[in-house]
Amino acid sequence: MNSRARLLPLAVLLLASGLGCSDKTTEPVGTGTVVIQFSHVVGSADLQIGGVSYVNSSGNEYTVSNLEYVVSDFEFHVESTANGEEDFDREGVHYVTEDDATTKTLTFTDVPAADYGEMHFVFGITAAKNTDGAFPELDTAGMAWPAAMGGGYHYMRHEGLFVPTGGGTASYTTHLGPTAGADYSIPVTIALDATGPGRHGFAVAAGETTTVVLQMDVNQWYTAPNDYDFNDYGAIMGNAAAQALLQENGATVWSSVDPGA
Amino acid sequence: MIVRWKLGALVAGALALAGCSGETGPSETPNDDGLPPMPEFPDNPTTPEGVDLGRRLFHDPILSGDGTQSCADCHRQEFAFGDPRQFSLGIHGDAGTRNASTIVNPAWQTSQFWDGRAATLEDQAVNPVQNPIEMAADWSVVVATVAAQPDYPPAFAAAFGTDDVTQERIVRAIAQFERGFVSADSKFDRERRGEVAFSAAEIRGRDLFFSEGAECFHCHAAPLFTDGRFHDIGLDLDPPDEGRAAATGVVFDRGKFKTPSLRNVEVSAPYMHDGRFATLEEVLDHYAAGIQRSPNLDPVLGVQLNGGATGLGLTPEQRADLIAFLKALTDPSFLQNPDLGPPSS
Repeated sequence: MNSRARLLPLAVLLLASGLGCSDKTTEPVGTGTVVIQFSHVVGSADLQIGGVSYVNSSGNEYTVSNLEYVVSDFEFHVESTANGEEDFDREGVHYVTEDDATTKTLTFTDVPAADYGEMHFVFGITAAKNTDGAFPELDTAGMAWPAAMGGGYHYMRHEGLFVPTGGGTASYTTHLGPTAGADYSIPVTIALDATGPGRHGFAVAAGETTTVVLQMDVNQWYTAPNDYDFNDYGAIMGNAAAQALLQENGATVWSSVDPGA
Repeated sequence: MIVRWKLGALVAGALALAGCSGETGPSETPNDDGLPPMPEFPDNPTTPEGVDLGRRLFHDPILSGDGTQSCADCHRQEFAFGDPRQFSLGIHGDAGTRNASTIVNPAWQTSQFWDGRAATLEDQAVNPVQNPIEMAADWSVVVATVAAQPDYPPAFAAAFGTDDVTQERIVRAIAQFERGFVSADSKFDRERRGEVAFSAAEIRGRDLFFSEGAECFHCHAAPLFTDGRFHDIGLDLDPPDEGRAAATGVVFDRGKFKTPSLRNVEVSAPYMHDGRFATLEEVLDHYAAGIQRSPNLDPVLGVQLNGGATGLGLTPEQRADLIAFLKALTDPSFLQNPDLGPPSS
């Protein structure tokens, strides 16, 4: 393929991307910016990478060496459509890693002004989109899931050390993803009280910025509704039962907290 | 190569526009050579003139204290821009303590050196010139010496608009040149493009490489065959080299080193940050049965040791298959690319 032919599809993409944004810039009135900040805690404590020990519901004392994951396809649902408010949705993936603060913020600049009562997103990537090479930046980040094991990308890599039964030191690697090509992505819905005393600042006003904090409680991955004992699991990328168990637990790891809290 | 740079700039432009949402959408497609879109470098945009200047400087011993050693003396193209010696020798015959890093697809890397102490190629290029056990030069002297050469100032003018020779311009030109060190035409790449077929051993090796059995892929992530991160792979129970911790001061980083790309690994011996292994067979011996449970051992390897194992337990046949696959990452067109060698005049 000559160089011009190689560049043509990319030029088309460039144009398409520009068009996709242009209507947002020509009609800014009535939209605001939503900044989602990703926060990671263990119980009531902020997550610390390295030597700090935590205990899960199975009694495993553990540390965290690495936490990185993918979220995708955000939707904000309005509380009321009485005045013509519409839901907001945006397809795409976002990569978060605890050791790079720049990844812990996701910004939407064109969110219609409204009170939003519910947020929805996918933890991981749904099967139809989770294909090899679809998201090159995830390849660069080392999140690819081998084709022979189902292909696509990891949803999460959570790794560290724990004290095994009998003492000493052992390692855990909670790697979530499309084991054998199955879809273990996790639809997450967070109900927000946009108007009451528990509101989380998720009312979007035209021309203004609203910050929403999405908080992951790492311990919840191993707690509810299923206890997950590190002693019972090694590498789990090929373990469908472990993936299914953690998929169930994943629905409760997220909450939205007041950014001022 | 110029086409590749233009391609990267275009894709980067597309990404900038697609970034309205803050998420990554389907517009971020890989290049047709299989690598991710090349990042954009707005502070030092690549130009043909800048690349030409960087090429001259990279291969010119004028940057060293006594005019005897160039960047290319320790970063030799035929060895994937690495050094076959365990430790490179500086102009005074002094040896370092780490094996010279290879330079393969550096444009995608967000840190440089084994310990990642330089964030950019520009930052990296500053150090060896002034390091007393390497090129041992004074930057002010280097700048004056380069400026005194009649053919250099016009080259700086062509690259940067004026003929001023500065340290910043020297390292920027070298960085532009190095960002063209793109390796994406190995047998692995050609097999993925459907141009060639793997042997049975290469297929077995590939399948093992991308499995939890051998655990190569988590750190040596395709298509760059590095995750750009820092890991302790259990070389020493008590690592004598602080590694990443020397740059961060964080105890948790002790003994961690940046994952090297495995592209062209066949020709980039010796291996590891200290060049302790002379052959790929020795490397696999380590992973098979020699992993130490060091304090910061990467859990991806550590989980394989749960229960008392000392490694991945690779059989001789599996090791041979892995090596067959690793050799499929050799890219002769990169190792012999005349555009990356010394300029002809």
